[in-house]
Amino acid sequence: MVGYLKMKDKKINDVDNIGSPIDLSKRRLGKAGFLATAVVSSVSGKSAFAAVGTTNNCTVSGNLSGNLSRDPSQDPCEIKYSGHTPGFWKNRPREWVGTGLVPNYCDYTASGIHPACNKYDFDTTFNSDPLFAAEATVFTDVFGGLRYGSSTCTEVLWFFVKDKSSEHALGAHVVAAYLNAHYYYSSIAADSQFPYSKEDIVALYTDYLNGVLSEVLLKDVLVALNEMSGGTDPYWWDN
Amino acid sequence: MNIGSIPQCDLLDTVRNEGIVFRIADFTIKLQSPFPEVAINIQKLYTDYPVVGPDSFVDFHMKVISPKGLRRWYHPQVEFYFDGFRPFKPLPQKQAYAMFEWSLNWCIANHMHSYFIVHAAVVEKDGKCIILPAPPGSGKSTLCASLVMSGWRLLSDELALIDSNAENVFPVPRPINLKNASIDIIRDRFPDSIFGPVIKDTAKGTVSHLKPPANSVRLASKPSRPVWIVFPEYQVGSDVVLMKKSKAQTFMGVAKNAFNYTVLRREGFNTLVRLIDSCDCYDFRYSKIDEALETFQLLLESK
Amino acid sequence: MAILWSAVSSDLFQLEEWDGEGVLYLTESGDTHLLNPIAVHVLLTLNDRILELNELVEQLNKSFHSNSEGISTDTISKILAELFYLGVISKLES
Repeated sequence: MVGYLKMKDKKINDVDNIGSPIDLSKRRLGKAGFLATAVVSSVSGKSAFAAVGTTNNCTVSGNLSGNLSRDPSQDPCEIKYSGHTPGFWKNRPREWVGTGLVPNYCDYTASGIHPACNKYDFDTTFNSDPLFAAEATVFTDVFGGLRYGSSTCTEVLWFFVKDKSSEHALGAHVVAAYLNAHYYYSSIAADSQFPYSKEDIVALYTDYLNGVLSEVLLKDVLVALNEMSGGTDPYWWDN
Repeated sequence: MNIGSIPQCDLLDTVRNEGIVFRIADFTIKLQSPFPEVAINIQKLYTDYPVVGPDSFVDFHMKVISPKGLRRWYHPQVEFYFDGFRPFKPLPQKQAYAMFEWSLNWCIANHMHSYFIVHAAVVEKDGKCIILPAPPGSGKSTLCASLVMSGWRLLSDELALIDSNAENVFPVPRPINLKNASIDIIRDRFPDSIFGPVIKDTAKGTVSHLKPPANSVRLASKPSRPVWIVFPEYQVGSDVVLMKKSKAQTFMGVAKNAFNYTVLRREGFNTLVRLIDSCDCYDFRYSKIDEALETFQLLLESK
Repeated sequence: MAILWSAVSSDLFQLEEWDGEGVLYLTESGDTHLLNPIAVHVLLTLNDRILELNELVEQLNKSFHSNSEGISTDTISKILAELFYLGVISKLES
């Protein structure tokens, strides 16, 4: 550092003369002046801050562009969206662990209108499985409303998938979307593979219950989201 | 004809339908948006900017629109399209106007590689211009707004466009993006200032845009010679300090704040060498606007 | 067997110097580095001639006058290692 001027002096005329000019022919360096490292600082040739220079680049000038996160759907560094169907989640109760929804056991061999689902696990065949130890989650307890009475989330899925109950279509997709959100939503936009959080899903259903959102529209959107498993379809918002 | 001379209803219709085509310095923008607040604030903050014919060559085709599907009305959002490409994730609809401003920054920073582009404010007086590179939070925009409202010409508050010979900085004067406390500081200090909407809860906090002086817009086609590079830093309670900065350190500081330094490769390196050769370089620390204004006036008088 | 040091071809780098400090541009990677005055002087010296380490240390101590023991061989060794890593100098065995 050559020198500095506090503005109390009120002039800059001789600023170039402040401090000792550096004379290369006879440098005076104290012990502290020797720098053991040659490189003081660097700018990488691949600076993340710099634009790549094409319209389809992976980087965004976040410093300029407010809260604008890059859109993975139109990004050459593409992130795949993921969403699984009610049938997928019906068959994978073990994947519900940690999601906030507890499954209950349903007899896979059951037929008829209503599957043989037990709310509590301790029947003679499956009483040792800890997955079903806790009381299964009742749909209404999480999402509200009276439509599905005392049915558990598992049962709502089963009614829809096994019984093809159109009455349960909406509920089944709500449950599936909730589980998809648990696994694939991220508050970090660039990492997110599902556009809604669990709280969003609950809020959507609440809006439906309050008459703000129609059943048809909500179901259509959730169906589109839940059927994106492993695909690269980025245009979910076009559905 | 300037944007300010268009009747508001006509402007609303135009922006909503075929889009308004107007010039900012050397750039021609075509903007379409169904949101009335975008058109209204364009009229308020871009009053002095010339409208051009709809058949003119357009540099940036911009749309600030509503997404399809649920997000049209559930937690409504706004999206930005550039030449049919959507580079960003949506924002809440109430940030529609800010989306336009931020997106235009992105358009220029990512596409105008005939210039060496630095994230910096640039102001000019008496034919000499000062480049103020700074990362967010340095107080650059507040300082820039203060200078500009005190008689300095605004070339830009975000983007220094420098030719490859580093002999000129090209203006792109636009509304100055101010945040949080700065909004009230500038509004109180300069009661004649005109602001766009105050938008809360953005990633940057509360933001608002300050209309640039008409003179800055009028001189938008006139480049200026860079004479100083000053790195500002706002620090609460500090004395004002202007410190000479080594040219090599300045080089690195500018390179780190340049958008296309690495894109331009050796040409970028050489342009920056020429710029550093021709400028005096300083670090600047301040806490009071009046002291900052006085310092810059003294700097101007020193050369 | 002595090791000789020399700058590589000027096609591979560009060095600009102001008041002793320098900025170094590497052509292949596009990386840019700020070099301290001693490193600048080492590179400029090796750009003009091929030297052994001891010759280089002697040369630098003539150019830089230190208040204490002078620039040590160890310091220059470390700087040579960095510049070699950056690819702007090469070594030969004589």
